[in-house]
Amino acid sequence: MKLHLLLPVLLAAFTVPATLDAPAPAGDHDWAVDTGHSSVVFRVKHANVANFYGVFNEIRGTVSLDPQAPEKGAVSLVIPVASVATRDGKRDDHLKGPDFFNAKENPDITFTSTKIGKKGDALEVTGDLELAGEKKPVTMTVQKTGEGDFYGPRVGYEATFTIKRSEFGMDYGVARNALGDEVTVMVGLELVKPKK
Amino acid sequence: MDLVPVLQGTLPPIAAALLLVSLGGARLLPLAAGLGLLVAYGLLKRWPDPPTELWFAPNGTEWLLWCLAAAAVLALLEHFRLWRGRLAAGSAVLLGGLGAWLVLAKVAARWPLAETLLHVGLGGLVTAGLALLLRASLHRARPGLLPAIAVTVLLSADAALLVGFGGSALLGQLCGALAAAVGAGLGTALWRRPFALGPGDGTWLGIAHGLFLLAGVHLASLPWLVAVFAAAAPALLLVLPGRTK
Repeated sequence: MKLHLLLPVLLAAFTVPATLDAPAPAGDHDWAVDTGHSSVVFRVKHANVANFYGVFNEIRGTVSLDPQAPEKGAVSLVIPVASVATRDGKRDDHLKGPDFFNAKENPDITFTSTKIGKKGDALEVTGDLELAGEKKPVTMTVQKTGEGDFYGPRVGYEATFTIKRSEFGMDYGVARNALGDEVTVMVGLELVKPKK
Repeated sequence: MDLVPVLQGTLPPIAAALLLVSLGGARLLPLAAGLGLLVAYGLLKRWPDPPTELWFAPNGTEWLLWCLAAAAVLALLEHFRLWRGRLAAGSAVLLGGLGAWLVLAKVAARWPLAETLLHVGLGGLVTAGLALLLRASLHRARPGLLPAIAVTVLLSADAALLVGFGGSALLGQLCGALAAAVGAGLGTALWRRPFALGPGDGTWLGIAHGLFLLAGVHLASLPWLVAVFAAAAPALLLVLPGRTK
């Protein structure tokens, strides 16, 4: 196939919104996570030497947020553990097993907000993080990264927070510092209007 | 290899077996193994939730520990002749079936009914069958060290499979803890004779063998085929020399 024929096809593949079947809460301030353009990256120190990065390839959920009254908002996110990816299939399987996420018993990581407030230009979101069968409160600062119109209105947010994985029962390799206890999680969300 | 978790997993059952079997003989081995296993889990991860809490918030690995503790109690009762004959064999079968259901309780909650019946039913049958097989093998085998050596090798092989094929260091360490308990009990034969396993030991050893493999398949990533071959391994115990009439 000639390049000038192939190019529009490739462009369409990269630009068509990925979340056309997102769940549909009602309301002007309701958004759905655009799975294809949102990211979850985690960082943990290996052998107390270097930062290691992994990702979860899937995140879904809903956000309800009125910029004038953020305290009335709600965030609900789901990350399937099966989507963890660290560029090594065997390591991914180990992460999904009972030593870490215990994915067969706890297939999803969930976050449900309990309080949203303003913190300067940013938002401070507190909620329950359920991970490997343990539920703990976490608080994160959420920055708005942009908004625009691209196949419909979109808005972007980014949050970074740190957890101690041992508090969630994931203490494999902590004792000898083979793998750090602190895990920094970076979440980049692109939100779209849910399909009615 | 990280030596600290290996020691956390093996030292409690070794210490318990050396102490209790030295004091009370091989009949206290199930008690030593049960206690050693619970302490090993406490050191490796955390103290297991009691069954009253697990009933409402199941955790397959922790149910496995409590099932093995219950199997150890049954074996202990049988050693002290408080629980014997068909009652002992029947309770081993019941505990094997119940254990499979409890270990799979949380994962089965997301399965359709047919899949639940298949996996829990098959797992329960295999575990109960293994308990009966081990009971029969240990009843038939000539008393001595050979059956205990064979069982130590069997549990060590299970532990290696859980780590190597199942990708779970935790399950491997816990299974290894039981192997360490039997091995340490065996070691007491150097200063305290005789050391012989009885049919009561078949209950907890068979249930342990079955439930660890079941957990390996359903909670970790132990391939089915590997688990099936491993499950069949105790049949080799039938070739051990039998009792002379």
